[in-house]
Amino acid sequence: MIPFLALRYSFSRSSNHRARAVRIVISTALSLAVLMVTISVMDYLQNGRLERIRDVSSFDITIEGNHKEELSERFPDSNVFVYGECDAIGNGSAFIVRYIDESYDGGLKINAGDSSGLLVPYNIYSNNKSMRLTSMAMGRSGMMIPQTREYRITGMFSTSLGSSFDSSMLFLPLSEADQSTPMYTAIKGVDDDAIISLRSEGFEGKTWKEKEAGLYSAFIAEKTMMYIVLSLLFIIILVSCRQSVSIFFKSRETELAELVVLGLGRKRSEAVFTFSFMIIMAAGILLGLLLSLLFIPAGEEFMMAVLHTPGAELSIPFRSFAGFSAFLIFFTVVFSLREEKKLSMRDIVEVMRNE
Amino acid sequence: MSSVLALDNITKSFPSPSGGRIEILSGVSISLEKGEIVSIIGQSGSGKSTLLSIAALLMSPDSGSVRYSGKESTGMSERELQAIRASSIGFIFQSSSLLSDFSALENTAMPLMIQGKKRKAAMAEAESFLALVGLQDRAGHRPSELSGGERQRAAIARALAGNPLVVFADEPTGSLDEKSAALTEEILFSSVRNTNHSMLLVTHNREFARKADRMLELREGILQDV
Repeated sequence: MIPFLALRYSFSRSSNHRARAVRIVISTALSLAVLMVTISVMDYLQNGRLERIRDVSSFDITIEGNHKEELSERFPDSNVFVYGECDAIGNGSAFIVRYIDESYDGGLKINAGDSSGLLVPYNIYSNNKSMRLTSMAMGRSGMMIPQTREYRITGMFSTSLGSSFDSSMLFLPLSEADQSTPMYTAIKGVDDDAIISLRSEGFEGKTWKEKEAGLYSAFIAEKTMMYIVLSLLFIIILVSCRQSVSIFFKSRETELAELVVLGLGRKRSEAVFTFSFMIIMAAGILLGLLLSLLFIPAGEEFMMAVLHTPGAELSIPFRSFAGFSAFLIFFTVVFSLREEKKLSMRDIVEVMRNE
Repeated sequence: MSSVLALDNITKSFPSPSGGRIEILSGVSISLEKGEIVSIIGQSGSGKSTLLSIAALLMSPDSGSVRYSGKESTGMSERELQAIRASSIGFIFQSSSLLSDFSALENTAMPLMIQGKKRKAAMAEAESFLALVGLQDRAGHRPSELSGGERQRAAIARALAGNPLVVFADEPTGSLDEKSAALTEEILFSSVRNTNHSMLLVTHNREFARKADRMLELREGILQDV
């Protein structure tokens, strides 16, 4: 009985009620789709772009000096490699020059093979290119001495974020490094906390958070902003949902009173309209999923066209969708119960007379 | 004859805008026998509809008792009242209170479905009640597709379909034009008499009220024989 009545009220034959239901379905679907696209873009920015930039410009732990053998034994499941790094000036610009070899299978190679991963312009030279650079090398007396010569460059990376933690890096083969170039041992795929035990054993090094403090702060800021934006979006959706529930129940007040007069009882009559609204919401959620599937590829196009991100890949956040849908249904029930309580205060005879 | 409905010493008052309370019903008593039609007339605001709402268990009195087939309803839970409303009461309002999303046939079958009958059986049974009020050809039409008179006739069919102990009619022709009102009155009386139901009718139309077996007037909160 209740499902029969609820279904009929959900897909009402009356044009006014049908238009109202369609509006609820569309607004729910659009809200969810916008939320999903936002989550998808933010996920991409958070986990994709910045993580990859971090992979290129820094590593989980960096230890001063060449300790590759020792640290490889200690962290057999991690990627341990040696690299050299110094500052240099060339073509009127300042660079970080990094010397790396094949043992480094980290960010640069991944990004070189998958250029779509970075939101910023960068170049990887497939054919070695020469550049005249002046690097600051350590002299015998411990003084920094400028050295100018031609360098064989294999890659160039620029974060181009236009901020204080922006950097341009030149990549060179490890064999090109001068003897005076400061050398480091990088560990990728290890927990930050490992630095504590390494330090206690006399190693000098930094975690990526310490080395890239500015970038790390940006991560945190971005994450916080993401939560704020998502929370605001969700609050807007909830307010809209509450209004929809209220309007829906108000528009069905007389019919509810009629059902009570016919002997269906208040609780069951109210259940009819709660169930009916749930059906409308379910339709909205399903349409929201379909719209998300349509909008997310459009979001990729937008990012590629407007933000100049070649091959940006946005994924549909199914878990977030399921979570938000469950929340929405939960709040719909809460709002419906609230409306039911308000209606139960109303005098049925009064409602019928005001028809 | 045993009373299907008995109201005993009913009082009801409402808050007055100037403070205090206005007494609408001051010790009203009335009983309705099986198959009897009683009409109540009175001026607007005399408390006719209030009395009907109390009798139909839609409103509770300040004091007094309402009994259906001798069973006292005062102090019953909402669930018990709901059961009486479903099995013993048929209601016809001034403006047709048909459910707008359902056809005339579905509306007529609604009390039967609420009583627990299967939809198919309820619809089959409802058809005969629609035929009783001459709407068999309009069974599939929704209320918005029916005229005012047809809507009221469908409401009569629905009120009778649940085989109630008492049919309550609150100004059933009040919103109809003269011709439709006359036809609806005729159908209401004939169908109630043919099915041997009891009816408590409230109207301000004396001519209409005179067709009942007994006519009462509600004046200053008290029922008097006319």
